[in-house]
Amino acid sequence: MKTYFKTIFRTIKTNALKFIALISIILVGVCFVTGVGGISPKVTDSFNDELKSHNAPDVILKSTSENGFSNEDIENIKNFSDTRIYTSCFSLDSTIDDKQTRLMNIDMESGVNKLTLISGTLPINKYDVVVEENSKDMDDISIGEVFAYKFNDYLSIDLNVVGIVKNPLIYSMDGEPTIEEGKDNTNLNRIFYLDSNLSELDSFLPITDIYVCLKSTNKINYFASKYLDKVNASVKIIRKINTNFAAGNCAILTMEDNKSYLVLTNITDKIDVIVNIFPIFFIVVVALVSLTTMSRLINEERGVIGCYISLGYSRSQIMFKYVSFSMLSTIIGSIGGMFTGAYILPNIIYPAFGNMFILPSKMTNSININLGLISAVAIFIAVILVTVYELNKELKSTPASLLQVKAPKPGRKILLERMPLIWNHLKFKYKSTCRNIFRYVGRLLMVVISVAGSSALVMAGFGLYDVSKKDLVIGGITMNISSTLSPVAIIIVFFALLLCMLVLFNLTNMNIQERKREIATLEVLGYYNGEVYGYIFREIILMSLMGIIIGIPLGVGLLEFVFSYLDFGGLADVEWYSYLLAFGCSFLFILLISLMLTKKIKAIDMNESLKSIE
Amino acid sequence: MFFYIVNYLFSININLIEKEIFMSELIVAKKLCKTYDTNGVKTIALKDVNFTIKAGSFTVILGPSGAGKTTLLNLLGGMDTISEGSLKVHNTELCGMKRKELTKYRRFDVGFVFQFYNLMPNLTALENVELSVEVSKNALNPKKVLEQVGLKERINNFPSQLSGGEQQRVSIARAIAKNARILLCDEPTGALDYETGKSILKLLYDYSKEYKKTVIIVTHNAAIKDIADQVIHIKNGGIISIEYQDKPKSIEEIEW
Repeated sequence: MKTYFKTIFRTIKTNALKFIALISIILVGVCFVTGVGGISPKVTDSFNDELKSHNAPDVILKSTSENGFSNEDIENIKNFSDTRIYTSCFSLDSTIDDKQTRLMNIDMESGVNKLTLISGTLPINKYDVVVEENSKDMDDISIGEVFAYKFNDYLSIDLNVVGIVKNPLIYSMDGEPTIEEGKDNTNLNRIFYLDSNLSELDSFLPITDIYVCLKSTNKINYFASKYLDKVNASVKIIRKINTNFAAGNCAILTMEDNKSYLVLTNITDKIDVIVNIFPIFFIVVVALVSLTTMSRLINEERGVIGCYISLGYSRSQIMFKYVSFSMLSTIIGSIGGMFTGAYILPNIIYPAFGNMFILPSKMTNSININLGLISAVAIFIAVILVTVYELNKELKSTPASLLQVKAPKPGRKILLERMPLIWNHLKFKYKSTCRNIFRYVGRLLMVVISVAGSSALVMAGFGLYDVSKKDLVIGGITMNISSTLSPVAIIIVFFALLLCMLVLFNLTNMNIQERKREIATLEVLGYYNGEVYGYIFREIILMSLMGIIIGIPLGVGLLEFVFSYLDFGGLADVEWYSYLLAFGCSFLFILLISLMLTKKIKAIDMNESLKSIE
Repeated sequence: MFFYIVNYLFSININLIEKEIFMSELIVAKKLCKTYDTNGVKTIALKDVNFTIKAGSFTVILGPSGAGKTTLLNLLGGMDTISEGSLKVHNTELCGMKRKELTKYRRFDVGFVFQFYNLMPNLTALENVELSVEVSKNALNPKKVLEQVGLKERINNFPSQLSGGEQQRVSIARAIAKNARILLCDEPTGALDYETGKSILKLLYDYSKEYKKTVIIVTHNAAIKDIADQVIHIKNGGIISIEYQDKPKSIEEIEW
């Protein structure tokens, strides 16, 4: 048994290149899927942490009457069964000197929607105010400034600016829109916060807003899919508490009405669409290549398998050896991929959100590997199934026939040969290439599908990059999302090319391995290196070209599909040179791989041609 | 003046004589050595091997396995570099040749017949011959050569549709069609049954005699030696003896 285990490692050792190739393809695939799948969660989890730690309200009640809410209304909210904590305040949006201005008189000790002090101090004296950092005119306001705030023609108070703060509800880069009537979609120029504990304006200013943090959502992520359902369920109950909360008298705002939340979820939703479509391609290609690698490995090991059978090893013992080979490589690749994907990719993309949002002070440590895990399991099952299937096929044959050489697949005439007009004019070497391409239809399909898949991804990545330059309109507000979306597009292109490279490396390497004898014979016949390379690579390059030619339109189709789901962008936005670029990049990588593998051909010993067929 | 003319004519004469000698002695090996160095471990595969092979002769290199046959074959075929000594083929020194020069040598000067035929599985018999014709200078007509080896009816068949003997004939046709100086055969009957093996030997023998081509057969089958003009016996990386046979047996006479 000890020797038997040794042979497992020997199998890995002798097939080291296959083992490593298998691991790296799975690693890259799982890394990409885990990584892109982790982008949205990384961002939303970070914002969730920020919002939770500042007790951002789940519900804001805004009175539409001039007198605002009564003490009884506030008492009702306090006694509402789902209220965890609450606060009430005065808030007014108005235009002063043509500037959109918000004045708020809030209880800064309530613990609800806690402001973060950026610089200066919180209010100390009666009319001290702090200003919102994230507002249009922030650059024009400085600490120490005195601002005469006019309530009306008769009343005005001098506000002393003592500090700059950040409201957790406002994190979209271009600030917060005013809710003043007739000024739709205009952003606030400035926001002043008075401390109601000091200002002694309670008797003078009505209570316009009540902020409520709910019990039912306390443990729920603000960006979780069930969050808004829970909030809306509570809103329904609040509406019925008393008439002042009924539809006509009071507006009840939830996160859905918060501009920053809206913009963020809009973008993460878009990324999630991309993230859910693109990995399917990735995983299909990875699975296909893994399958081929395993089935070729088992085919090559026929003799060894026959040897085991004749020695009296049981089927399960033989199975175990090859299944452990595929299990080991899939597990190592998957774990490596999930680990690198979860930590590296989201961390690279996360800062890109800083161009559109004021990022939370702390990025979350939590990682999300759900998507990666699903794909890893899918690959795992596919590879194990194929290993068992291929083994079963071999194990059914008698040991004697296994020990014999499997006859090489006979050459045969291809369709093109029936067209003498073309065939007779083809040069000899192209005839041989054509016949080789169509000799193994399964292999041809493998290469074409894999290359088509990767080049489709490359195309889609470039296309996505182009449309990310477009402006996105969210709730009437125009935003430029290129800084956030283009890194995602670049990562897709990068990984697609990497995948393309690994796939071709693996397939070409196997091809060379299998044709060592042919290559050695050509060398003995006096073929120059260049001629031998041509003999091997011509068909691989031709097959890959077929793959790219299918892959580019496939990528365009994928793009169209993604655009329709994104509700954003269109094929018209894709630059003409992106098509060329996608083609060129894919082709360049194929040439690079061929160049890398010439070394392997050069290393083939001519004595291979003298050896008996093992 | 007269002196110079006489001298000139004389030198031409000498050159002609020299050339004659070289033409007759196509291959000259002197103190030929081959050592392999694997991870610092030196293995001597051939040591101080001396022999000559005449142009147009039928030579058998005979020895048990491990004697250095394959090494000698590799050196003669330009498939490996020479460690020490000299190996001249048609007055060209192979020792010290670069990879590319060796490739050229194989391309133009050697036809190779393998024990396991080594035909391209996806090429027809004719195309397999064309494969070598494509890269040679004075190649013969592939179809005619295949006809000569008795495969007129089989030229459009793939290797898998041919018997072992037929495949070996294609392999020989591929080597012959190059019209190279030397035909180098590695155990050409090794994978064939008795009768088929004999017919293959006859094919090679007739070719050598009819076209005055040098055929070298490397084998461990001692029975074959009786038909050769010259037999080089090797063992343990060296030559034990060289036998010249003025009246070699015909193929019909030998048995194994």
